[in-house]
Amino acid sequence: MLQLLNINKKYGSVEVLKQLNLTIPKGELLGLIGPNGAGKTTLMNLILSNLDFEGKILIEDQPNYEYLKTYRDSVVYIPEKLFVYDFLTGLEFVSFILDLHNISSKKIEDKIRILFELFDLTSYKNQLILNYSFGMKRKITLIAALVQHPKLMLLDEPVFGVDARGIIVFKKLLRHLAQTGVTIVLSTHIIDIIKNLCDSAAILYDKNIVLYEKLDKVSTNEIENKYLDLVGCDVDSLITEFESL
Amino acid sequence: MYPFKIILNHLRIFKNWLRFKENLGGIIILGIIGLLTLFSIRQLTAQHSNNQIIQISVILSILPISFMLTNAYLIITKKENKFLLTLLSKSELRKIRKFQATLSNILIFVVISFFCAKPKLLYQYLLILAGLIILILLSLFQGILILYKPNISKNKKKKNAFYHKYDLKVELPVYGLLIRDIVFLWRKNKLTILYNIIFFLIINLVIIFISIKNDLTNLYIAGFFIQAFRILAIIIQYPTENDTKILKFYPYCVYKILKSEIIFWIVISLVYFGLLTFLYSIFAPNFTFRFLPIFLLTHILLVIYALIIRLAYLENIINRIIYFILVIIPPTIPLILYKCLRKIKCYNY
Repeated sequence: MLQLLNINKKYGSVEVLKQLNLTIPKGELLGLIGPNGAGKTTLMNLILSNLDFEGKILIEDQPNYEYLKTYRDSVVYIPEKLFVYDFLTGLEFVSFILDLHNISSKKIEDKIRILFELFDLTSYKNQLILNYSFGMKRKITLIAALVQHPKLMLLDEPVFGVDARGIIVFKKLLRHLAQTGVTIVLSTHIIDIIKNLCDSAAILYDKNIVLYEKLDKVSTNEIENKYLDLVGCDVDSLITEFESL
Repeated sequence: MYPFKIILNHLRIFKNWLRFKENLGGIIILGIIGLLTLFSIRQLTAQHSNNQIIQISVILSILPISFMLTNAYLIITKKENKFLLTLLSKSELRKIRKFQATLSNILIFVVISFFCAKPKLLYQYLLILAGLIILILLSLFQGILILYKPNISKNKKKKNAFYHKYDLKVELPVYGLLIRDIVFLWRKNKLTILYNIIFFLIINLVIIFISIKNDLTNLYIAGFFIQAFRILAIIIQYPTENDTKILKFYPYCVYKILKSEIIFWIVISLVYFGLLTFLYSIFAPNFTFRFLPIFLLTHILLVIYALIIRLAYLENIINRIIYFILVIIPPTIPLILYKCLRKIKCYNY
């Protein structure tokens, strides 16, 4: 379980998050949406204890910094800004990440092979990442994340640039991980992904979580409308006006 | 185990980097230059094994070489910091970087000083030991420096008109750009400036130390070029990102930016070398002013050259040049030193 209690975060004098509260049960796949600059990435960095803040974050009832000290290996984070080593091959990159998480890549050789196959990268696994396209680079980070067995996953725009097949595979694997008890926070701008994948959705707007609902209780259209209401944009009338021009 | 895993990964990256012929060729050429200079110094120290000043100066000159090579290594690996922070805590990464810096400094310093100076006497071993202590202390500083990220708040960024590309549409005053350069350099690169001051101090202390008892014109020339090249590396490296972005949107600003930057760096150079001349004239009794105008003129030309390269906003080429300069400076130090030391021979030491 992940709990965020009374979180306040400031960058200098700019307040980004104010009195934010959120509880995500174990094994839940939460879709986090919000306008650009709402603080989604900041929130993930707070969970990872990379930034100072006021309030409390508990992972499995332990303060996040304490939890991370002991179980850093069980938390996976895919940042929005991609970083890969250009001069490593895809396979070497995945092995390096596993090595840092103290997992022997030889022991899970088959798992790695299947993931490369699923993401259609088998023929590229021994090529330098330098030669990969943007989407392929994104896929290699997904493989590196999915090959581990984490307890908590923080995914910031993970499928940006990934092809349709990659997205389908990713969604299925993520669903499977959530069923095995992995808590997942997925930040995205694409509401359809939340619709097809997540158990619940949260809207981060104006420094706080303004809506947190289970998706079986509320339809995604409602979320979409609520989101558009919040950001103050009457899309339908503007589109009608645009079409009439 | 993390440091070793990361170092091992760097070695793997280096191995893959060498797969490209042009990279391999460049490294071989630099390797040959480096080895030749090391061999010539080794030869020289062997010929003058009784000259204490030569032995001391050779060991001392290896200090900045180790520091700079280590720094080049840390700068190259700086890109991965953010990525590693998604896997490790800040304190872990800090420890790793400190360890890497220390290991690299010790290795380079010990290998080169033992190879070049071939220590036999107690004072040489003591000097190497003292050098090691200095380098270990500097390593801690280097390790932290590489992780330093300036804390510029979003608010400050918005308020600062110098950074905002849209302001350039209206006006681009040379004076404004000059202030921007100063603000930018200080705000974004405080610790880099500090590190460079340390580097310049070491170089000049070595020169002054040798000059007290020797009349070495070549040493001043060497000192000048080493420092001039370092300043050029700074010019090319900072604040490239800012101007590159501006020029992508407003290519017509090239002339105005170029003008302000030339004035800025020439003023910096004049102040710096003026101060240096003043110090040399006090501490180095044999220092002569006759080379100063040529030094300054050469430096000004080099500054213009560096700025033109930078403002051509050819990012890849710039990266290669930075890399080249960072790699090429250390081998030139012993090479120039060798020339200086040959001069000693003429004075029958």
